[in-house]
Amino acid sequence: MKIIEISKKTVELVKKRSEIGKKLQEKDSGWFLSSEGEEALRNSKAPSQKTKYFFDYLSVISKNGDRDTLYRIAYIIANSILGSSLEFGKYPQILSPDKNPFVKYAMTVTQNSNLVASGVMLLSLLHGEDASKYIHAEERPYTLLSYCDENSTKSEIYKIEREIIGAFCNEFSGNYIPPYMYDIVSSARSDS
Amino acid sequence: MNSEMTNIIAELNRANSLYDNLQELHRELDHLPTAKSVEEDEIYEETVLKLNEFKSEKDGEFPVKKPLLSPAILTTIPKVPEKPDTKTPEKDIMIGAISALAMLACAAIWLLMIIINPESGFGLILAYFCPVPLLASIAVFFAVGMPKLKKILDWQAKHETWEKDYADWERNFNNAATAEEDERFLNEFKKYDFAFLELVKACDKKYEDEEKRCQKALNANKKKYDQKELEILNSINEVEKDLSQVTVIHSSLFEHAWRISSILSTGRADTLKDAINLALEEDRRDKEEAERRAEAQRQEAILEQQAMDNRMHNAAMERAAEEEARRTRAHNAAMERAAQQQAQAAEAQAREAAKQTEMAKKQANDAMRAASARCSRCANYSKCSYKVKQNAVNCAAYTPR
Repeated sequence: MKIIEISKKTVELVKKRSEIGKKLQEKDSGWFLSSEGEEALRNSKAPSQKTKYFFDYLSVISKNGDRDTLYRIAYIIANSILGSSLEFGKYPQILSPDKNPFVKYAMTVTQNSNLVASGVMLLSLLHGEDASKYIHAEERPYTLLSYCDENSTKSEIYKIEREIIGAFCNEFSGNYIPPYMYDIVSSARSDS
Repeated sequence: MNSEMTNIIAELNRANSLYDNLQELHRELDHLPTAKSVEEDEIYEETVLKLNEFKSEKDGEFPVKKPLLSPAILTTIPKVPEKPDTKTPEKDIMIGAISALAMLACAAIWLLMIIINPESGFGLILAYFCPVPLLASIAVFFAVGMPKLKKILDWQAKHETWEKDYADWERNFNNAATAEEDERFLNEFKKYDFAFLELVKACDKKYEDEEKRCQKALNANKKKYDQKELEILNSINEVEKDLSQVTVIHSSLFEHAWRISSILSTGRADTLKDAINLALEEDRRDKEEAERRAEAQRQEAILEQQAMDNRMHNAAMERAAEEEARRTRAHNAAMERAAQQQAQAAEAQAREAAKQTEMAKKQANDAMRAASARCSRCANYSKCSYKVKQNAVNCAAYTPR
């Protein structure tokens, strides 16, 4: 029985050999920038496919990065950054570490990366600010975020900022999510 | 005691009282900044406490929960199985398949050879030549084809499982990561932002109010201490003025006034000059005595410290000795146990050897009995020699009667 089963599988393998060959082909970062990679992104219609595309890319450039962190970055890139009017919102800039701060940060992610710290780093990279400003209450870090009025539409940056906070900082056990850090004494004292 | 001496004693007593008063006022003046600072700290602490209480109250009333992003963020993409170590998978598959095919073909020919009578001409050729290619094809398949094929087949099986997991993840993700879900999240965040900024505004307002109150309290405190300082300084001036009117002794001797007065009152000196000298001498002696006492106390403390060090050292030595004795006892017990185990093992070995010898003897006896029984049943029993009868079990000439 086993011989017959193995024989069947072998025949199947022979038939699908080119397909398997493609699956086993190692994709390097160059592949994502090639026409084939571009087409793969264009053909990714569902949110899951887009997320998978960016997750694969980040996994290639990050090598040993924490999967949870890379997945969350990929989710934000696919969900909020791709197609936005930001400088790095379009292909191929979206994959460039020089243009896209999210990709730049993903390259530095390690197995020991902490989610809240990653969120703070991403916010600081997005705004080109010092990361320490997003941590200390006396710096009033919430003032560095963008806001929208009751009736106004939400800006792209607003959406990205909140997704970063939702994806990375929500597990913070304190009263308020970073960078919503406010201490009545130290915050006001630095003001005066 | 004449009236002049009585006046001098009264004047000395007055100088002593004024001097004490002056010292007290200076002490009070020196203490003022510390007292002021303590009261200021109390005002600050009270303000901070009030502010923190207000913030805690506001935190408790915070009307919005932390906004949660779509559940899609919580499930990571299933991990892709590790790829087999091959650069040319298509070629490897073909090598595996061809070597398997060759092996099967050779096996088929081999079977054909068995079916055809090997004594016929064609069968004879196959009988001589087929095992060689069959063995060769088996060797090639197991050495080259199968490992490559197995790697890819294993990976294929894992990949199929991954594809199922991935399909589940994809379905769940697409159900969770919708535009409606994004909108819900952002609207929740909008409410959170609004509530948070309102809280900050209220806290900032409270801070401003408390800061004003604190400043007011600090100003009042400052005023109070400034007033106190002024009063003390005035008192010091008055006392100094009074002291300057004392002419009976020099101002540098005011601190000895009570002693000089005491000497004169008790008649230990006849003149003021003698009383001053005696007072200075007593003061010097008192100082020396105080220094001696201090030195003695210092020496005593050093000796006590040394004694304590010695006690601690001895206790540590005792503990170390006890520990060493305990280790020695444990070591001896372990050695004893090992010796007992060795003796038991030797005993068991001896018992086993005796058992083996017994069994060998029994087997030899059994063989002898079997040979004898066999011989007795043989038709040639009477013709055989004693030596042949000893090896009757394998006797080729055995013919049953």
